[in-house]
Amino acid sequence: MTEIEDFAGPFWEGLNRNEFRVPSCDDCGTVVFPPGPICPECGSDELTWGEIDPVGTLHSVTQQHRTPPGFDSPIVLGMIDLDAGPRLLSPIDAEYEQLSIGDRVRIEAVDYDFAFDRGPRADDPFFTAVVVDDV
Amino acid sequence: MTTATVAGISTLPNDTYDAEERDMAATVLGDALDDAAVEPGDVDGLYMPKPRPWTSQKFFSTFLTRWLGLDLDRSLEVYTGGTSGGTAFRSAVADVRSGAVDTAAVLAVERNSTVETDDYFEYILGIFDRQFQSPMGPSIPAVYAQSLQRYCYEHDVDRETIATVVEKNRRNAESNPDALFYESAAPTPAEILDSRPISDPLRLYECPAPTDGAAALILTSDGSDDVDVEVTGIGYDHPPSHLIGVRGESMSRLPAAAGGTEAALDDAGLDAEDLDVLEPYAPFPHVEAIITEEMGLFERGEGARAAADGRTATDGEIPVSPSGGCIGRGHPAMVTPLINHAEAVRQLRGTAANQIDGARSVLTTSEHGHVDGMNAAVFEVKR
Repeated sequence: MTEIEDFAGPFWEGLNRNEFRVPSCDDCGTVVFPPGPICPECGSDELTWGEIDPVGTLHSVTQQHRTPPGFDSPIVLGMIDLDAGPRLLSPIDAEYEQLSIGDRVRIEAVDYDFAFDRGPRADDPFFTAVVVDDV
Repeated sequence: MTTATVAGISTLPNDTYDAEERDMAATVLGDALDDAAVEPGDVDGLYMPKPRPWTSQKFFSTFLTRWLGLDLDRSLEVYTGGTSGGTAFRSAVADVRSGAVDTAAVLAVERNSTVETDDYFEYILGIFDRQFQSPMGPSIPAVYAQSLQRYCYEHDVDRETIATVVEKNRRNAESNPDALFYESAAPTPAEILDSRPISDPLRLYECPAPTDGAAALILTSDGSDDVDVEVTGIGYDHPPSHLIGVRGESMSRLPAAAGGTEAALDDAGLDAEDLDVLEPYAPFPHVEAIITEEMGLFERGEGARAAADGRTATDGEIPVSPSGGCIGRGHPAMVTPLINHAEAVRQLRGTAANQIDGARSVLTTSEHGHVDGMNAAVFEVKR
């Protein structure tokens, strides 16, 4: 029987050790995030997992005032362009007023404590961004 | 290829309704059939966006088919967020063009008054990436707030200029009896920017008010007796984008808007400059501005300034959202695309609330997520 692969499994296993593990395309070098079955740039399925330094630049930012039930309000969210290539949406552990487009940030693992059913990821940490000045 | 003609239209004013969705749907369908002078028994295609998840009646199109005694060669009930109504319409046009269907009914109904805010927010969480995004609690305005932020940053556009897009659309809605904000004084840019923050920097008056609504259009393969409004172009584009844009591309860009409108204009054999009116699906003010830029009507960063300068007003060089758009009319997202289409037809019949003199071509759009995908349609009058 065909085995169904947990395509992002190694990411969450890595995050449990505060490592940011992602697949990269063997053919074109694209770092694939969220981790998936193929390279979204060239379509290759030759992917190799490795650890990257999850530093990047704040592409944009918002402070969301109305939040879903089970979430604190307000929450600060940003889109981060990682130096390694991918863009991700991330919570940011900072005051909204202190943030600007172009700020340098790093993704870190954090305990997850909101009332959202993450299914099979329920026991895994999540991530947040913190502002860094020295990278 | 057979030409698809819009023979009939009907819309309910955007408002709050106590009536059940089935009764709203049957009312607009009946009125659109009357407008088209077509009998229910002539309808051989039914196309609709799947009503929202909080609609109690499921299998809505199947229910309608038996209730109204329709005997169909094609039917479609599709759900892809805000594009749904446009996708239903595009499919209907394709089936009329191919000859699969002679008389297509395109129908949408939505009641946002029946959903609790918490339940809506929980539903919206589900459209984000369940593994990597939903756990942080995002909302749709939180995504659009970030493209607004980026647009202002890259093009040095101030917030007052963005607010003039809202002011224009609210002014247009003042004289549109179908609009939620009909006869409601448009706020000034200062009042818009003083309204309460929703997701910084977006303010309440910059966000579309959810309402109830319903609309129907009848497409035929054999034209109508008086003014013929033809669907001359349909287009769609969905680049690899899901809420945070296309890899390597700024959030201030909307590639689907460029691709979808270009496809529809190519289909119609027109250039963007040939259009007389735009009725875009633009739930937030900067989206309207960026769509006009992606179409090549204005330089990048100039779309909002064009509104401030009156160039997109009803008496401007290219009127945009003369009906008031999502912001002025209110926004039942499943219905909005069909309201845009109905407004296009009214402009071409010469019966629009804010009539643009001599309008002969109108382009409409619909989009989903963060304009991840876009439908576009071109309507032209053939007298």
